[in-house]
This record gives sequence, structure tokens and C-alpha cells, in this order.
Amino acid sequence: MILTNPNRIAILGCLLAISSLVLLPFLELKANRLVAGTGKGLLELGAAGWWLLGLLVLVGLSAFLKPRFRAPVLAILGNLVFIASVILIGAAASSLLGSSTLARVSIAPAAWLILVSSSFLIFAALNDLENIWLKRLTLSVGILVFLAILLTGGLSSLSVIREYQTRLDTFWLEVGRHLGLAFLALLTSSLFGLPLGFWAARSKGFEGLILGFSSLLQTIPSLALLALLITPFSALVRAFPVLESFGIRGIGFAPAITALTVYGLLPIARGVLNGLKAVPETALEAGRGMGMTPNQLFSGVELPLALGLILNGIRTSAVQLVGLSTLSSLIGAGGLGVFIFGGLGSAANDLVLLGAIPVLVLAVLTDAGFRTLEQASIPKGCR
Amino acid sequence: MIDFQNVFKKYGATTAVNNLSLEVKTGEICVLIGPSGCGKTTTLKMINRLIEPSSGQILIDGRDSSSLKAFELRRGIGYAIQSVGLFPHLTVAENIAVVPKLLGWQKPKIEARVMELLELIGLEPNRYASTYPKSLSGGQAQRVGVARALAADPTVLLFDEPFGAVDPLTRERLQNEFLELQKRLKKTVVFVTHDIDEAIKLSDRIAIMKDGKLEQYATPEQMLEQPANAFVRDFIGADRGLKRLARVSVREVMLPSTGVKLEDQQFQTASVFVVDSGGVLRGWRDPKFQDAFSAHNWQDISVLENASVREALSRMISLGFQVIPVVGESGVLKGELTLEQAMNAKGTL
Repeated sequence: MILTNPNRIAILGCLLAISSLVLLPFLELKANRLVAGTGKGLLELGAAGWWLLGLLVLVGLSAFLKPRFRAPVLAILGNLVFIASVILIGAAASSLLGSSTLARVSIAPAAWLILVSSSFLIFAALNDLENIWLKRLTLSVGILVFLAILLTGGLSSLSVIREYQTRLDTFWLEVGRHLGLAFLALLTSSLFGLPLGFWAARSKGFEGLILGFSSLLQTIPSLALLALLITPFSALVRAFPVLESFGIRGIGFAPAITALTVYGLLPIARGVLNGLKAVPETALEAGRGMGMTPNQLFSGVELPLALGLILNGIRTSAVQLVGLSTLSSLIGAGGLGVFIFGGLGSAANDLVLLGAIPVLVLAVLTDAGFRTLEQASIPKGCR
Repeated sequence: MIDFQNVFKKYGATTAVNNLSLEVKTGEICVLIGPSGCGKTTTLKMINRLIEPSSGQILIDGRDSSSLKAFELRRGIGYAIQSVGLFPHLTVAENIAVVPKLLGWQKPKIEARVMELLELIGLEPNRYASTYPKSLSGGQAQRVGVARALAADPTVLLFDEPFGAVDPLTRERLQNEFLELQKRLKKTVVFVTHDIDEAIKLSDRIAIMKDGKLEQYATPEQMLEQPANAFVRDFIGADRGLKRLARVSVREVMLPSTGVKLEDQQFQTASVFVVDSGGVLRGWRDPKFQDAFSAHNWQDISVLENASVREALSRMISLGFQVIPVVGESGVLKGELTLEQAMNAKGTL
């Protein structure tokens, strides 16, 4: 028998994809970038839609295979569905657009859902695959092909790409600003968070104080904090006009970094605290008993054993900061929030996407990067 | 030599160690024992100043321990603890090398020393040097803990229940190995335990404490013979006679014997124990069946020659033997021990 209990994630992904393709609009055609559009179902867009449906039925069947066969089949089919959908989106968009220069084509729910459900399929395959290299291959094929399609202009008929093209000059500037804000805030958060965590680990009273205070800060809504900071910064600049020559003003960069630092602080301090607390007391006693000085004990025992959890805190903070930096645009500090809030303000959904998708990608990349670092930092004997 | 002179340790109103004067002679094992909270661990930790005495002096080889910086003092004293405290991020070799590194030894010297110590504790250097503590068994980890304490060849060793966290069989083996080691190394050892049997087995002298005060400081024999007071008598327990047997090794009282050879059909000798051509115990002649050969694993029917008479007696009782074969590590028959000889061992003290 090669059949077995079906993989539920794969079945779910498959049903989600098929029902959304049949029931929901795949793309949306608008007369110009601001007006409401009309939905177009996949099956109205030509024969290719039927091929995609056929592929999905195959996926549904393959979910019943035994894991040994299922994993590679799902890996291949999942990637195929993903790549086919991307190509289909690009091709259908360009044929819908025709020769019109004002009209726009946006991605509609069914297209989103099929992209989501194909990633379900890929994750279902990843669960079953055992070989780490096969896993990496499965994960990277779709991404690489997507990038190739994107860079060769395969998606350039889409409205979000049009938005990108008209804002080519500001897009990368805002990406840079966004990253700059997040990175600088991570630096300042670390600058304060690392020693705070260290002191918290050393003194019980300080621990309660720091954790209590930073939890309190975290409960302030981020938008409110940003707004609240405008007043003191304006007052500061009024009192010391010289600050203005350093670029410090009531709005903009300085209050944004301050607010972000406040939010980035707690995960870092907590990471240090948890890391140092997790060092076994017996190892510390043995170290002291063998004649290590406090500094040797810290650098030779505590730090290497705590490093994994410290980096874990920095990762949490970094991912949060990449997300939160979006809000900085609201007080004039720029970043990808410029597109999101600009788009929201003018009801241009594709402009919102132009901001939101890069934020998502940056957050995922940041997370992956720090995760790798974290894994590498865990001493061999403790893995 | 470690010399406590009127040492006190007070925490606020409570006195953890109360006017302790005690001399541990060079090359001797002094076991500190007592109920929990009696101050034994505090006493031990005051020697390497993990705990600073409130008043009084501790002289180590004639020098006041407070005349050195605490970390310098500690580097010269071996220290092993119950939970081992091996550093999980360092290999076995790196763990053993900690103190030599702190002392600034040259790399080749450290490497040679680590290999030597691994041999000494019976862990094959090539196999274990680069493994991490998590892959060691409890007994192996304890051995590495002991090797780490010995690394810089200190004259004084402090052991805080180093065999407390392993199973009884492993503990027994570690204790025997430790005694063998001590015969060669002749360190001055202060050893904390709460196990009176361990104390009697290992010590040259026992210091028994209660509420921070030294109740009696004597050799185990003296203590078993003449407990200083009711507390000591109670602490040692009712089976003092039996406990004394823990101090006598089987080797000292057994009747030497090489058994009879398996291929020797005559069975003329007095021994009922049968060995192969290499002298390894294989079983016995069973008188119930016309002296027919009855084969057994030597591990199942014998005691080791370095075991205590107490262990031998316990084994004889559980096996129902009147006489038990005594073997060396590899199972070679060394002698026989009768119930009578075991009883007499008590009298020779």
C-alpha cells in the first residue's frame, strides 16, 4: 500500500485554493488607480485557469500518499502551483490591461489565497522531508523563480509594480530610511538593553524594577508614544536651539528613534536576563571554586552559555523594530510607512502593498538572519 | 596540613560554625559529616574562601589563607562538587585544563597533563578528550570532576559530596577508585558527606558536627569504638559492629586460594571453586550432586578483593553462601572468605 492517512495541511491548502479559484475574483481591473474595479474570476481568464485547477486536483490526490512518496511529490507540486500562479497572474494581468495606459490590474482575493495555499503545500512537504538539503532546495526554488519572474518584468503589468515604477526614486530611499531607523534603534536599544539586562541579572531588586518599568512602557500604544514624544522634543529644541543644528526637532528622526528604542529595550534586556539566569549555578560555583576571577567567570562561562538567549532577545527586538519603524512615517521620519499611510489616505490599495510587502520581507529576512546567528552561537556541547 | 583555629561563621543572629578548631594532617582524608545544617559545607567552603570566616584563622600548610587573594588561593586547591559542575560548553579536555590555563601553563604541558589525568581516571584519552559533558554517564562525569580538581596537582583537595549524585553501584566503584588514587597521590583531602558509611569507608579521620559545633574528631575506629556522646552514637547508628567491617578489605582477611583447574578431574584439593587455565573463576563443585561442576559467571558469585568485608558479608547473606570466592578485577580467583573469617575480622580491629 502506498496510500495512508492524508496530510491535513496539504488537503486544507488544496481545498482553500480550489474553492477560492472557483468562488472569488482572481484579478481586479480598474479604469484608473483610484476608482473601484471589477473582479475577474480565474476561469474567465482563459484555458490556463483549467490547467491550474487540474494541478490542484493532483495535489489533493497526492496528499493521500505515504509520507515517503508524498513529501517529494508535494514539494514539486507545491512549487509548481506557486510558480504557475505567479506566471498566470503576470500573464493574465498583461492581457487584461491591453493597450490602456490609465487602467490598473490588482491582485484579488483568489490570487492571494492561491499564493498562500501553495505555501501551505510547500510547508506540508517540509514537514515530511528529512534531508536538510532537500528542505533548503524545496524552500528556495519557488523564491528564486519568483525573483527571476519579477526581475525580468513578468509581473510588470500589475498595479503594485506600476506604483513601484512611478516611485522608483523614493522607494529605495524609503527602504534605506526604514532599515536605517530599525538598525539604529536596534543599536540604541542594545546599548541600553544589554547593560540593563546584565544589572537585572545581578540584583533581584533591580530585576523587578527594570522588568516592571519596561513592561509598563510596552503597554503604551506605540502610536500614542510617538505622538506623546513630539511635545517634549519640541520643548527641548525650544530650550536648546543648538540641538536643531544636529537635526533634532519635535517631529522626525529623533522622537522616532527614541520611541523605537523604548520598544526595542525590553526584549533585549529580558534576553540577557534569561540567558544569564539560565547558566547553571553549579557551573558558576565550580568556576569560582577553581579560582576564576569575576571577569573570567563572565567571559569564560556566563557569556558563552547565555549568548544564545541574548541573541534570541536581540532577534525579537529587531523583528519588532522592523515592523514598528513603519509608524515612524506618521511623525515625519520616513520609512516604508510613507507608502502604507499614503496609500491608505488616498484609497490606493496597491500603494499600501508597495509599503507592506517590503516590510514583511524585511521582517522575515531579519528573523532568518538572526536565527542563523543564534544557532551558530550556541556552543557545540549544548546543542 | 589544614589548621582551623577558633573559626566562627555567623549569619546575623545564627551561628553556622561555632568556634571550630581542627587540624587535618598532610596526606590524610578528613571527612566532615553531620545532619543537614550542621555547618559541614560552610566549613569546607571556608577553606577556599567561597565563604569568608567571621573570625578565626585557617592555616593551609602553615600559611594564613587570608594572606592570599581569594582566586589565587583557590587555584592552588582542588575542588569537586556533588553536581560536578562541568562546563557544558567545554570539552572534557578543556574542562580538565581550566585551572592549568588559569595558572598560565604552556599548551604542551597542559595537553600532557590532561592525557595523564584521563588515563588516571580510566577514561581512554583518544575517545573522551574531545567529547562534551552531556555525552558522559553520571559516573564518568564525576571522574572528570575529580580529574579537574587534580589538574594542577594541588596538595589540598576539597570534595563536597562528589559521589552524592550517582547510583549506589557507581558510588561504590568511585569510592574504591578514589581510595586507590589516594594511596598513590597522598593528598590532603577534606571531604563532605552526609553518608556515614561513606565517611567510615573513606576517612582517615572523621569530624562529626552538629549545629556548627565539632562533636568528635577521631579515626573511624576510635569513633566506632568510643563515640564521644549520645549524639555521635545515634548518628553512627545501631550497627556499629557491622560498620567497622567496612574498614577492613577482604584481601586482609581472606584465605588465599587458586581453586582447582577445570580440566583437573581429580578434585583432590580442599577448594570447591573451579577456575579455567587462566585462573578465572568458572563455578564450583556441587557437593549435593556428587561434586559435579556447576558453571557460573564469576561476577554473580564472587566479591572483589578490594571490597570491604562488610560488602562481602552482605553478598554472602544475599547469595546464601557460607564461603565466598574472592577475585581480582578480571575474575582471577585470589582466595576464599568464610563466614567465620568475616566475623573474626571485627575482632582484629
